[in-house]
Amino acid sequence: MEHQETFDKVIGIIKPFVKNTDKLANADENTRLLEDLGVNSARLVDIVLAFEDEFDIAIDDEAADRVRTLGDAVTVIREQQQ
Amino acid sequence: MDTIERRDKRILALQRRVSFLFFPIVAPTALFWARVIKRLSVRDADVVRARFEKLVEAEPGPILICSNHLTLLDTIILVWALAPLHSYLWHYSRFPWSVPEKANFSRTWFWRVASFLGKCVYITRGGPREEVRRTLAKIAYLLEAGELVSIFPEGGRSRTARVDTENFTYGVGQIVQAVPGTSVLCVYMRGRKQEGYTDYPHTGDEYSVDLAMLRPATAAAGLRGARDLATQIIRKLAEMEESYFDRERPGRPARA
Repeated sequence: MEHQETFDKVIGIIKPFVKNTDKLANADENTRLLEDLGVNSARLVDIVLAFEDEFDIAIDDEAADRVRTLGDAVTVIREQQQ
Repeated sequence: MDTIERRDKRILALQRRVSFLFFPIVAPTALFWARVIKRLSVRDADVVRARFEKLVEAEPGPILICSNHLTLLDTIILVWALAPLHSYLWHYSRFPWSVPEKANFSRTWFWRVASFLGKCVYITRGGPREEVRRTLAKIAYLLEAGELVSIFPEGGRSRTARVDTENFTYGVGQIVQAVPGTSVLCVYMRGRKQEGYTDYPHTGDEYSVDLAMLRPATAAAGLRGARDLATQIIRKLAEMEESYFDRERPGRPARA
């Protein structure tokens, strides 16, 4: 799967958890989930589990902890796919 | 979950000792505030305490107390409701450790000292992950050491005035995962005047306290397992809330 395709899927997955939807429209790899998009920190786990389901991968706690930006999410997903 | 640092172990041991020494002063002061200043009461306190004693005696393993959360001082009411104060001196491990939000309880020296003496371990919701992990490691260590720990699994006071089955945190699930064999004592408590979340209980309020022991289990591991376990605990509390409303306020919907 191409990088951009993964990025687009990530956007689709996190959309229901995002409070600042305006920011999501212009999001890039550096957009932070908590601070920029207003995702509730408690819901990060749900997002990581949704990544696992969507991409059929397993993300361990350490990798999950690294997910702070959309770019981090794409990186972690692609690492687990390899 | 990370293992606890040696320094944290020493601090917790010191905190326990100092807290024990000051208990005869701190606990009656808190009780005076609750009973005399705020004129609070716990309905059928003797029945609640007998049930607590029976449930705790029957559990061979670690016990995590999980309660709903509507006021900043729920822990005081919880401690008061579960056992007579003097009994904690004989079973000091039953005087539960609490895990309050750091921002709320470290603003002034008074609250910092009160938290230390009240066996509190601060947590920062949504804080740096290393800090949260360190706190979870402390809680796991305390449970393994046979101490009771009380936490609010919703992760904060419910903004809906009902057990929040949507926006709860999964930290409680991680704790149960980290300490195999942990039982969860679910506590649903609510004052008759408590309609929403407040900083302090309403003066003159009468509290109803229900207890139920839960042994959450899941076949899933990692974050998924933590979510499963946390969900079971929250559902149990929500179920207890339904019973409360059926019994105490018939005709009113438990959920908004």
